[in-house]
Amino acid sequence: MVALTDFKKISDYEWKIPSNYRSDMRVPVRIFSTRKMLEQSLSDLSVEQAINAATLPGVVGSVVVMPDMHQGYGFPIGGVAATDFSTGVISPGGIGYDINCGVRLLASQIPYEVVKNQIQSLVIALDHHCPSGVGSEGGIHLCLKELDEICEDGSQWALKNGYATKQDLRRTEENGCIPGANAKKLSERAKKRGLPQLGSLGSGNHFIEIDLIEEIFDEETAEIFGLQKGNIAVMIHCGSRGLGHQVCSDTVQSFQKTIHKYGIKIPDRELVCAPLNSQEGQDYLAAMRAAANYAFCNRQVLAHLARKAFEQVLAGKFKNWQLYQVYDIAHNIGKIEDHLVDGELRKVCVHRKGATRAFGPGSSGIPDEFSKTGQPVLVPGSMGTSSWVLAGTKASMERSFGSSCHGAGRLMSRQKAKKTIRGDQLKIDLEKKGIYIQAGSMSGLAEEAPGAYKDVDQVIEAVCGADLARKIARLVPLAVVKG
Amino acid sequence: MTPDKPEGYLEIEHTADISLRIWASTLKDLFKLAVEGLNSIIEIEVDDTDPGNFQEFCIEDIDLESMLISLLNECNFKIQEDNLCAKISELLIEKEKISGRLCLKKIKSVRKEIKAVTYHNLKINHTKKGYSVVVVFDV
Repeated sequence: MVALTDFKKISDYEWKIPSNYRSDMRVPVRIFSTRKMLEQSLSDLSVEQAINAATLPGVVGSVVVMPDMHQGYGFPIGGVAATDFSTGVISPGGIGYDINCGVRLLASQIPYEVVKNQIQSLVIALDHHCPSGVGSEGGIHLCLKELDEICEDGSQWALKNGYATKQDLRRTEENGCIPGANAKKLSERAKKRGLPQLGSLGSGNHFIEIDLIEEIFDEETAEIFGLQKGNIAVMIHCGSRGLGHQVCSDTVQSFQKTIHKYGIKIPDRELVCAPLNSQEGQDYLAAMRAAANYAFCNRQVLAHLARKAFEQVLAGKFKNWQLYQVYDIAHNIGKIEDHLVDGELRKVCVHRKGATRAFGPGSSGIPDEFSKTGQPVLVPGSMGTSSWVLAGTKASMERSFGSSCHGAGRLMSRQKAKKTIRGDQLKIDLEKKGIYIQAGSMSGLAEEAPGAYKDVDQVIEAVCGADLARKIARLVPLAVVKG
Repeated sequence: MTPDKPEGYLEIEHTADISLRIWASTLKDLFKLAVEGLNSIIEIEVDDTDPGNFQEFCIEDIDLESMLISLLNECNFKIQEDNLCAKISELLIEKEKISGRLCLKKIKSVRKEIKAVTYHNLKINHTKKGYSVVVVFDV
C-alpha cells in the first residue's frame, strides 16, 4: 500500500509520486489535493490505480489526479492520463463505461424570491417531463438511421429536429459533436440499447437539479457566463446510457486479446488498451466518439424537456422564464488535443475519467465569449451541498492537460451508505432544509446521500489553490430529480 | 474464501461501485453463483407465474476470467434489454469454451442498474478449499 511518506510535497495542494516508485511506471503521478484529502484517499485503491495508469505505453508528462479522486476500476475516478498520439495507446478503462458522462448548466433570469413558491411544482414537472430511474426510456422513437445520425452528428441532430438552439451548441464542449465518430463501429447491441433511451436520465448518481445561485466570486466572468446572484439555474448530470456502456464493454472484452497481439503488459486487466495508430485503436476511437455524441444529444434533449417543464409551470405567470445554456462539459472522455509536454508541443490523447476539461483563456476550442475568461468548469456537489462554477486557467493548461475536478467524489461505499442512512429519512431531512426530492427509489437515494461524498468545498479549495481553476459562482440545491 | 459456508457470494467494500466476492468448491458452482450474485445485486423480482424458457449458450474466449465476464455481461444484457432474469441450468466448462443452458424468466421489477461487469483486478483463485473470485460491477 502507498503511504503518505511515499509522496514528495510540491505545495500545499500538489503531491508527487516519482516514476521510480515502481519499476513499471513510465511517468510520475501528480495528485492535486490537500494533505487531509490525500490521507483520506489512501484508504482505498485510488492511488494504486493512478500508479497503474502510469505504466501505459506512450503515457507522457505525469498521470494527474484530482482531489475528488476515489477508487474506480482500472483508472481512478478523478484521473487524467495523456498518451502520445503516434506512439501511445488508448484505454477504454481510462474513459469509463459511461462515455461522455457530463454536466450541463442552464441559467435563467428568474429570481428565486419571485418563484420560490413554484419550486415544488417545477421539480414535479421536471420529473414528469424527464424520464429517469432504472431502465428509463426516452419519449423519442428513433429508427436506426436516426440513431446513426445522432452518433455521428451529436447535438446537430437535436438542432435540426427542434430540440436545441444555436447558442446551446456553441456553448457545448466540441459544439456537441466530436468529429471522427463512426456509427458503423458500434455493435448491434450498442445500437439496440441506444434506440429507446435518448432523452432519459438513467439511475445511479445521475440527476437534474434546480439550484439557487447563492454567491458570485467574479462579477465580470459571471456576467459573461450568464450567471446572476439570486437567480435559479438547472443542472443536468448524465451520459450515454446503455449505448456507451456497451461500447466500453465490447472493447474491454475484445482488447483482452489485442494486448497480446501488440505485446502490451499491464498491471490490471481493466487497463487493456490498443495502440492509437492501430486498427483496433482507431475503431474504438470512432465508436467512443459516436457514444460521446449520443451523450451530448441526450443531455440536449433533456435540456429541451427541462425547458418544457419550466414553460408548463411558469409561462403566462412570470416574465423571462426561459432557460439558456451556460455550458455543457464531458467528464468521462478521450480527446485528441495539443499540449505542452516538457516544453514541447505534442499531440496527445487525453483520457479524462471523472475529470473535467478546464481550458484557460486564449485556448482554442472554446467559444469566443470565453476566450478571455477561460471555459466554464461545472462541478456538481451532492444533493444537499453546494455545486460550483469555476473557470479554466492558463496554469491548468501547463499542469493538468487543461483539466480540473468533476464533483465531490465518493467517500463512503454504497453498501455502507445504505446501512447507515435511510432514504425516506434523508428525503425528510433534505425537505426540512428546503430541498425537494423526486426519487424513484429510496435505497438509491440513500446510496447517493450527501454524507457518502467528500466535502465539495474542500475539493474546490484544492483545485483553486493549485490554480487549476478559479471560483466564479457557488450554487445551492433547491430541488433534485434523482435517477 | 469464507470458511463458515462452503459456497456463496458476499458484497464487499468498494468506494463507488459494487464489489462481489464469490466462492465455491467447484468451478461450475462458482460460475452459477456469480450469475446469482449479479441477480442479487440488481434486486430482481422474478415473475413467478412465468414457467420460463431455456436458451442454449456457448462462449469462447482466451481464459476462464474472460468467459466469466462474458457470461455475466450476457446475463446483464438480458436483464436490461429483454427484461429476462437468467439462471444457469446446465454448464460445461472447457479450456477456452463454456456452454450450457440458461433458464430465463420474466422480470417483475429491478431496483438497480449495472452499467457493466469489469475486469478490475480479476483473477479466479484455486486453492485446496475450492475456487474464489472478486468481481467489480460498475453502477
